[in-house]
Amino acid sequence: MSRTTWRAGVLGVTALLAALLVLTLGSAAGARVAPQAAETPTATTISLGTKDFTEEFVLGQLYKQALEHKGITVDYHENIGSTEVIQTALRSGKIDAYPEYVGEIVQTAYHVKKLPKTAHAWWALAKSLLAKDGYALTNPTPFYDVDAIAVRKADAKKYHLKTLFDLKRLQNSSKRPKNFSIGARPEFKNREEGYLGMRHVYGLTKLKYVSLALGLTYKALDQKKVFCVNVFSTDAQLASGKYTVLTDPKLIFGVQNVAVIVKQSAATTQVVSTLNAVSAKLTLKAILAMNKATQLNKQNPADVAKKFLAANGL
Amino acid sequence: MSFEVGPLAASPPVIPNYGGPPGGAHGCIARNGTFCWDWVKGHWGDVLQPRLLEHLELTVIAVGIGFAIAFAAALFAHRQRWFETPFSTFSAFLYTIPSLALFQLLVPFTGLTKLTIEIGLVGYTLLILFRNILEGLRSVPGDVLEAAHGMGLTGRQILLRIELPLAFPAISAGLRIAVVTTISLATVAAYITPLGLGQPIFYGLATDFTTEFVATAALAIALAIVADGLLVLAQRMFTPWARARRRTA
Amino acid sequence: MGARPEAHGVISAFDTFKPHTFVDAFRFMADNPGLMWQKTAEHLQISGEAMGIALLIAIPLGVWLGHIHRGSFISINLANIGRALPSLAVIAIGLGIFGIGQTNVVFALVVLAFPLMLTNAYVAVDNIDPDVVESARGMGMRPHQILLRIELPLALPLIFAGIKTAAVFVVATATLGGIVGGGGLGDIIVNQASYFLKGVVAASIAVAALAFAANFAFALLQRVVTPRPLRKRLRAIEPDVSTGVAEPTTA
Repeated sequence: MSRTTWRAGVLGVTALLAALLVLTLGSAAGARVAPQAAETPTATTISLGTKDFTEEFVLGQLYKQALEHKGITVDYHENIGSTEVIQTALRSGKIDAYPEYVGEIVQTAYHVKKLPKTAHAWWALAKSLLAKDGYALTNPTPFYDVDAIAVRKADAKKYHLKTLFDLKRLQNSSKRPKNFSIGARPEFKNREEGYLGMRHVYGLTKLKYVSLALGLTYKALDQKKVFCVNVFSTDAQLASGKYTVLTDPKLIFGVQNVAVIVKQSAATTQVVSTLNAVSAKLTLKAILAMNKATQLNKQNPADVAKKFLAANGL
Repeated sequence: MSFEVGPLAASPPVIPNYGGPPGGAHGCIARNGTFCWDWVKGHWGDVLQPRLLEHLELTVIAVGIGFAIAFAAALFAHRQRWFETPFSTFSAFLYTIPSLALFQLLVPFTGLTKLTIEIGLVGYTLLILFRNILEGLRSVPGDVLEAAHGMGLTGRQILLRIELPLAFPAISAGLRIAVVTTISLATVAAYITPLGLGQPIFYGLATDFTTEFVATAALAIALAIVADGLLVLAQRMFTPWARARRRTA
Repeated sequence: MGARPEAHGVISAFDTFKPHTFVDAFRFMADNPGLMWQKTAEHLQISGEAMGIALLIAIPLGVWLGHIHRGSFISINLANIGRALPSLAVIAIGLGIFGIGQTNVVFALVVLAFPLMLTNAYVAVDNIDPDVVESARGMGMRPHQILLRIELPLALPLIFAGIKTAAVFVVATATLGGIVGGGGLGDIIVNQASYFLKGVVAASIAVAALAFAANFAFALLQRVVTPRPLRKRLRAIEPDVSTGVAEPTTA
C-alpha cells in the first residue's frame, strides 16, 4: 500500500468523525436552545400528549392549536399509546395534559366497579377521582365515542346478529364460523370494558383474540381474517354501510365523552377556559365530519383542526 | 341513558366543508390503495423528506457514539485481555433483547425522548463494532509487530502506523453492518418516540392508511441499500491494496 | 408529585421499573403458563415455517450455483442487500401486498433469511479447493457424486453458519409480527397495557431463549449430518464469509 493512500484514508476517517461530533453536539445544543428561544417572559408552557388513534390526533391538534392561539407554548407529543401507557406518562410527569374519554378514566385508570347511572355522574366521578391525585378535568364534550363491536353486514344478515347476546347464541350453535375471532388493539384484551367483559358478561368464551395495530381492524374484517372487530362508535368507516354494529345491552363499554386531564399546576384559568371553549363546540356532528376527513379522506389532522377552529372563531 | 352532557354550546358549531379525498372520490387515496403515487409526491416535502433526514441523524449519532465507545473498549481489550469477556458478554446481552422491548424498558429512565432511542441504538451497535475492531487489531501478524519493535517504533506509533491500517478492512466491515442494522432498528424505535422513518410507518398503521406505511417502508429500504452501497465504495476507496490483492489472487 | 396512584388501583407500568421487575418477569411466566406456551408455540410455528421455506429454496440453489461456479455477483450482493433490509419495512410492505395475518410475517421472514443462507451456501461450495474436486474427478467420480460426497460435506460448516445466523435473526424478527396481527411472543411485547413491563420482559426472555435454542438445535443437526472424520472441524469458529468475523444479528 502507498503511504499517501493511507494518509488520505486517515484524513477521511478523521473528517468523518469530526463531522459526527459536530452533528451530535449541534443537535444536542439545538435541543437545548430551541424551547428557550420560543419562550417569552409572559407565556406559559404546557406539555400535551395524545393517545394512539386518529380521533385523538384530531382532538390533540384542536386543543394544541387553540392553546397556541392564546400564546401558550405547547410541547406536543402525539401517538403516545393506550390509556394505560399514557396514564403512566402523565403520572410520571412526562406530559402535563391529554384528552381522555371519561369512561376510560373511571374504568381503565381507576377500576371503579360500581358504575354511575348518568353520563354527567360519570364525568363528575372521574373529576373527583382525578382531583384527589392532583389533576383537573375540563368540561366534557357534547359528543361521545364508545368502543363497539362490528361485523360484516352480510354476516349480520346471515346469522341474524343484532346484539352481543346474538354473538353468544352463534358461538354455542352448530353454525359457528371457523374464523370466530375478534380483531382488536392489544390493550382491549385485558379490560373489563373490553374482551374480558365480553367473556364475563356475555359469555363469549370461545371467541379467539387476534391482537392488531389499531388502524388494521377494518382491513382485517374486510379480508375476513376475523369475524368481528373492536371499533369506535364515531369511526367514519361505519357510515360506509358495509358493517353492522352490535348493540351492547349490558353497557359494558361505559360512557365515553371526552375531557382533558390537566395537571393541577398547569391548569391555569386561561388554559382551562381555552380547552373548555373548544370542547363545547365538539358535537357528534362535528367530530364525525372531522373523522371522515381524516380517516376516510386521509387529510392531515392538523389542517382539519385548523379549519374547524378558524370556522368557529377559536 | 342520555350521553350528550356538558354545557351544550350556546350556538352549535360551524362545520367547515372538508371536501373529498385528495385525488377525487374514486382515486387511489379514496380506495386506500397500496401505493398512491399522488400522496408520495404531495407529501415528500412535509412528511417523507423531513423524516428521512431525521432518520439519517438518528443513525449517524448512534453509530458515531457507538463507534467511539466500541473503539475505546476494543483498544483497551487489545492491551488488557481480561477486558474482552466482560465487555462482549455485556454487549451480547444487550443484543439479545428484542428492540421492540428494549425501547419500552428504557422509557421509565429516559422518558419519551430522543435520548431513549439513541441509547437503545448505541447499545445495539456495540457488539458488532467491538468484535470487528478487536478482531482487526488482533489480525496483525506477530512477526510484523516484532519487526516494528525492532525498528524502534513506540507503542503509539505501532498502533497508528501498523495496527490500525491493517485492521481497517475489518473495522469498516463492522461499521457497514452497524449502519444498516441501526437504520433498521431506528424504524422500530418510532414505536416509542415518533422520530425518523418509523413514524409514518406506525402512523399509517394507526390510521389505516396503506400508502403511508408502504411508501415510507420503501424509502427506508432504499435508504439502507444506498447507505450500504456508499459504504462499500468508501471502503474500496480507502483500501486500494485489498482490491489489488483480490485481482492478483 | 405527591400522588400515589397505587392507592386507587391506577395502572402504572412505566414508572415502576425496578430490578425486581426481572424477578416479576419469571413470576409472570409461572403465573401465566397458558399464555406463555401458546405465544411461544405460535412464535416457533411462524419462525419454523419461514426457516423451512427459506432452507428449501436457498440451500439447494446456493449449493448448485457454487457447484457450477456461476452467479457469484447475484448471490454475494443479494446477501448484502438482504442484510441491509430494515425488517419493519419489509413487514410493512408485505402487509400492503398480502394483507393481515401470518402469511405476511412468514413471507417477510423468508425474504430476510433467504440471502443469509444463499450466500453462505454458495461461497462454501464455490471456495472448495479445486485440487480436491479435480482428484475426485480423476478417481472417476461423476458430477453428482462429487457434489454429494465431496463438496457438500466439506461445505457444511459454512452452510450451517449461515443457517444459524438466519435462525437467530428469524426468531428475533418474528417479534415484529405482534404489530400486524402475526401472533407470537410479539403479542405480549406490544401489549404492555395488559401485561405490564414484567410481561414484556418475560416475553423478551422467551424470545432470547428461543433464539439460543434454535442456534443450538441447528448446531446439533450439523453434528448429526457431518461425516465423522470431519467433525473435529466443528470446534473451530466458522468465520462469516463477508466480514471475516462471526456475525450476530438482531431485530
